[in-house]
Amino acid sequence: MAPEARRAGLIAVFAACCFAFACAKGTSDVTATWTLEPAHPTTDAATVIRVALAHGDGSPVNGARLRLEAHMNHPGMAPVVGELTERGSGIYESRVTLTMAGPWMLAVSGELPGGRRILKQTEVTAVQPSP
Amino acid sequence: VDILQLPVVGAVLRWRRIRTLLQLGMLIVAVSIVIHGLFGPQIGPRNLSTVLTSIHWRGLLVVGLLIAGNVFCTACPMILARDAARRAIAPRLSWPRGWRRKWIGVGLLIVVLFSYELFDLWNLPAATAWLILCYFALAVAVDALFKGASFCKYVCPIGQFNFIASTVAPLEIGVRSSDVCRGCRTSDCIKGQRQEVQPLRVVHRGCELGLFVPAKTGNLDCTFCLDCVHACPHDNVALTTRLPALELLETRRRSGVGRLLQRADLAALAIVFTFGALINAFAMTSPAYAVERRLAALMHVQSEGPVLAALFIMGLVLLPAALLFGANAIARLLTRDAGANRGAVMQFAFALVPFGFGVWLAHYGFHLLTGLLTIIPVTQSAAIDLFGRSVLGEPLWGWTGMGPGQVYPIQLGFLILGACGSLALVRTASSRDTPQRSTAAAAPWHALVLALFIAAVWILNLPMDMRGLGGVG
Repeated sequence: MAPEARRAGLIAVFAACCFAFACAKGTSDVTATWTLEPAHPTTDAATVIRVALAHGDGSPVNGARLRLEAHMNHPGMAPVVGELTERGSGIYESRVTLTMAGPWMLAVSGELPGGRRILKQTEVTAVQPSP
Repeated sequence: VDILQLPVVGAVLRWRRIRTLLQLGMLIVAVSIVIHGLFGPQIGPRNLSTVLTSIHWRGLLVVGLLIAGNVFCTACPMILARDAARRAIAPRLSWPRGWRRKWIGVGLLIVVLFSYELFDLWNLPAATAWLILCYFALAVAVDALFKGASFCKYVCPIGQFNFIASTVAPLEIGVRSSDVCRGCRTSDCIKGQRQEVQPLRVVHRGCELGLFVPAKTGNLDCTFCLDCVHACPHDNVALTTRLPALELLETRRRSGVGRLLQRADLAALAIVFTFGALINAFAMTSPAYAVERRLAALMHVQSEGPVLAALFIMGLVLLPAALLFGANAIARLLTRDAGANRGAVMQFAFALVPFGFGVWLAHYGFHLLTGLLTIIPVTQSAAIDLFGRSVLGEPLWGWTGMGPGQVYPIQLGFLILGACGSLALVRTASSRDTPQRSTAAAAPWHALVLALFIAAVWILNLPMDMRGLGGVG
């Protein structure tokens, strides 16, 4: 293959990957509202995490298959993963223990009815150590 | 032992395309990092950009230095991009004579360490991607303007880190037979080989960092590119095993470097390398957060920048100066030596490098070992981001690595290894420079190494706190 053709091929692959990633983020018409109980989690007790999903027109997103991931904000740490149970009216709930003090990232991922992927995230600024 | 003469390994290393192959591999990794960093989810532990750089690249870099040498520079993809750019733009300028020191590189290394803490780069995939793009752009721009490997030698902060760390590596490029070099009239190892019919066309590149192999000592400024191996018409360049770190006591003039004790910039690099290791590890702990809050209250500031700057000035300038000059003053008192002390301070600053490397190993090794397998779920997750469905299966988030408790003895081992290396260097330097009172001359420096070792063990035992601080007030 000629060097020019090889270069053009590489650029095309790069552009296709960028395009695919950009398209994969297309769930912006669904909003997520997060609630934590207790509002300031600690490492020694479970936290109930609720996420309410709604379409752009405000109607609830029911029937989604979702999973909760709680990540420390540094890579390489074991995340806490939990299944989200549907409670009705677009509300999904999970109960997890955030095992280390500091900031965490919560992500909800899975499939919406119809098969579209969803990924929504929020940050828990400071999980408190056990007293 | 000459590694290049070993079966299989030697043949692979002597293959002319091996470096390009390694660079291509790293380029693919860099492209993946940039694409996922820019377009993937902005969650540090879920993005290839931050996972590959913070866990795998940093960890494998120090492990590579421990078991072989400066292998990251060998496989650096920025040189591949630079070589491609140089096909279009041939550099015409020489790096300015007044800048032929490491000060720019040392300054940029401090900026990188500082920015990492200030902006929490481990949790910013897009910023990490942009940083890598800027790195490539800077490397290409500098080397499109200036001849040789000016970026590697004088600018690249990762390169400076690797150069000083590679002084404790077990392998070194050298000559097989000095007699063969004495009879050589072409010096292709530094000049390179050119075609006879087209003298402008380079067949084999010589050392771009200005290291003349027969006069080369140690690993400083060597990128393990193996250009000299391919260029030598007498097949007289070897990759030999050696006693790690001993080169830090070498006082002879080195090709491309000069005398170590006349290079304040290299001594500064050694200090930043050693004390930066402690700061970098300490910054991940809960007490660091408490110290920052207290400093913020004292300084009456709300943002983290000034507080972190104060910590860096204390940790990289004031504390090292107090410790090094203090130890030297005590040594002079004990040995009743009133002579010049700058050389001694520099010599012992270099002697701390093995300890500093032990701390980097303990820190980066911890992340590598505890997070080694995270690349699997993160790649699965990236495939979902790319294809919209789980083509590699649902992410196995339970796959991480060894438990922190299992890694702790390994970390401790690295610290002990580094401290022993520094203690041995101090002892050897004292015996050489003050033979009559070597024990007294070494005592304060041994005490300093032990104090730093205790500090490192203390840091290792502190509770971790992955801080994502926007403000500390």
